[in-house]
Amino acid sequence: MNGNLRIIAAIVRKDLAILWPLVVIVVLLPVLRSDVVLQSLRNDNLRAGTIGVSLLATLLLIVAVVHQDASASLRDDWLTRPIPRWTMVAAKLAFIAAVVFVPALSTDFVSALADGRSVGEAVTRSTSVSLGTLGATLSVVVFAAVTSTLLEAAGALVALMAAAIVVQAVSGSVLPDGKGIVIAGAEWVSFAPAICLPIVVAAPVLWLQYARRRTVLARTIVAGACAAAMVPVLTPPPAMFDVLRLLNRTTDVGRTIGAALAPGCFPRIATKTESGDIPDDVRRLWDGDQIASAGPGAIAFSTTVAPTGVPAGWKAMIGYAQAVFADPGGRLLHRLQGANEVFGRPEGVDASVSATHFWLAGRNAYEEAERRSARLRLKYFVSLLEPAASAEIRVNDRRQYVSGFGYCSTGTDASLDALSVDCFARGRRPALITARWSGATTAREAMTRPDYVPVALEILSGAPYRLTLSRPHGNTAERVTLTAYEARAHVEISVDAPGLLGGPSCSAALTSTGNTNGDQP
Amino acid sequence: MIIETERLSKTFRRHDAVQRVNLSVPNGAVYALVGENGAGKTTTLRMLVNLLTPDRGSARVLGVDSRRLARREFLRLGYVSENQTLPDRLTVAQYFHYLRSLYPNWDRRLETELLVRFALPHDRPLGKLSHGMRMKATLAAALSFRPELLILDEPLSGLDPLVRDEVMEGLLHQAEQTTILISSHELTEIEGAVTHMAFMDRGRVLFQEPVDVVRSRFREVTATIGDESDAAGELPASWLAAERSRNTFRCVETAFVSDAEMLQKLILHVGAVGNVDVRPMSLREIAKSLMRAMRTARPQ
Repeated sequence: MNGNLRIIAAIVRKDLAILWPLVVIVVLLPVLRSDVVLQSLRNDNLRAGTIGVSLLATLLLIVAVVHQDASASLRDDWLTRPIPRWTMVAAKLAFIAAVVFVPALSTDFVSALADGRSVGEAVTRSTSVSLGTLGATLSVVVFAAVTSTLLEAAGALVALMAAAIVVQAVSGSVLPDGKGIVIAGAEWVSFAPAICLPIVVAAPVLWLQYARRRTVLARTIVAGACAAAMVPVLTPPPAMFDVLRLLNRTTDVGRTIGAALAPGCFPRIATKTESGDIPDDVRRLWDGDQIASAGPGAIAFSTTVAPTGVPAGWKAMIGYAQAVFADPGGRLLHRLQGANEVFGRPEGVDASVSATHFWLAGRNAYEEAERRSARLRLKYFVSLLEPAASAEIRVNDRRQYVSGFGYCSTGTDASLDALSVDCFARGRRPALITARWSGATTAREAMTRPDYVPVALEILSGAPYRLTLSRPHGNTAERVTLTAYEARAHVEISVDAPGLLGGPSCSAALTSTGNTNGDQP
Repeated sequence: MIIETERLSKTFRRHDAVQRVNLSVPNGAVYALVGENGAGKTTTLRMLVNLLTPDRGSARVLGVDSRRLARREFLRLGYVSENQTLPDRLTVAQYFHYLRSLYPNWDRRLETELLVRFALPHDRPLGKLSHGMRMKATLAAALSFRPELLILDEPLSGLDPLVRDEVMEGLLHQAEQTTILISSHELTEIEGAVTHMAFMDRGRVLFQEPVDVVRSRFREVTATIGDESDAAGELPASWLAAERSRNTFRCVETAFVSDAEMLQKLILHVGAVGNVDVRPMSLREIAKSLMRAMRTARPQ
């Protein structure tokens, strides 16, 4: 056996001899974590507990195995043994691969076969490793490498988590539109640094730590990477959209798209009933803090926009919308609070036909805007998606590989009179997938949530997706059409509404606090 | 020279742990690095085996810059430290099995011999060994591949006299084939084997010499003096721990040449003397007197 391989084998054997109780737990946990077992656990807490214990044990094992031969130490036996430093790194990674990944992949493979999947799909499923998993594993390895005791590593991880919680909490007050606001399809912009930075810094940090034993510098880089990974959480949604635009060259179509607001006064809803209670509709749209900060007599209303210039068959997805009161000179007077219900909805808003958003304006803000003859300015961040591939699958046919969509099958839910389309795709996935009964219009289609993640971030990963189609009365179609869409442009569209609520005379009914003359959402 | 350092220095924050140390350890020597706790011995040894990187200066070990020590050199270099972190959950047998895979030059017969000599229990985890047993296991692990150079950092610290003897016997059994650099407070056990000695204080090497030279120039001097004996100015710098008590004068002469010259010096600096007893000193006594002198000279 090659000298280095012999050393790696010796180190792995040694670590197994030391850590075998934890190894047994970690090797068995993927079995408990498998779909078959998880589905049999009726109790959600038990299911969550199984996953939690599994993750904690894996984390502990990774830290423990790296610390068996700590590099950030002056006393560890291996440091004066004939073990090349990179061989030690390779041995630790080999151990992690053998004990953490191989059992997980094997379980996934067996679980997929037991679930009736083909061997090809079972292999595809079991060998799919998301960059997130890889990044998380490497980040634990890196944390363990720059520390020498479990206590140190735990302290560092706790500090990181505390910082993440603080940043997350602070983001609500720092971001102009409050917390919980995401651009549908652009969430990856927030998470990409956290996923990619461990992968990017792992090699230099391990090199500094093992080959050069520059612990302080290695720790500084790790701390810097942690800080950098948290910055995107504080990135305002428009900036996230800018990232999308940077990565996607705008096509001509993107330059011609526009939007038109539905004419007439915007429908309004009451923020208070006569008894002083806040109606359920309002509670559903805004949380208590948002309603409280809008103050008494706040005005809630909705706007409906329809895109123009969208080529036939394309989709215009609104990822994010902003509303402000702007004075006649165009200066911002007040930013309106968007509704969580709309912005938080995972599938984004398909504006190919029209899209409705809900806004909350404080009474004082509204009255000041009215005094200064302000206008309502709406800004939409729209993604234009072109159909890139299409395929038809037969209802209740055997599971098959559909080019561009992965392994797909359909299943009927008799109680709901609905059909579910179940697919698993690995590698590059379309930005959006829709399913509709063959021959039906797009108005009755089901769609996945849009995701504009770059191909580099999904190259190793696989993901299942499920689309549920209800069967309209009298529909006897035996085929379902799947359509894949690709993002061709991300554009920002501004629309000025006449007046503050859709028309110059629309405020007439707003003279009393807590008016109830608007439509309900 | 198997080890050669040039102006080797290391600073921890603002504390100069090692300052411009020049050491030369010849091949085949048993070289004792002596000094009080905090003198810089451990830091120096850690730099020699690349556990620490020097801030300034350099060290060559086995002909290689200490910062470039690699597998090839560690196959020829054994290191034992009193506070070495071992894989505690491994049994003695598992530990030696693991080490065997790392060294193509591992001598299985010598390993067996050392395990028997040190009476190490094969099936006991390293973490459950007493401190003495642990040191013996570490030493056996460092000797079993017949290293050319053995660096020992306080290997006898905290051991009871019986274990100390056993460890030293096992060690000296190998001394003929191996160059040994040992830092220790306890010189009695290695007295007979040490060929060279360096004394460190506050990060500096005060001297390094063959032990014969050290032994020849250190003497414990006791002289009877008269009650009225008058000192003629300052005492020579080569006298350590000089003290007068009634009609006795004592000191340690660090530059002894001959009895006659010593008598002359005494008369010159102490005055009329009666009986003079000039006694050779053991390494342990020499080290002790040096440490005491350094402590006295240190600003409070």
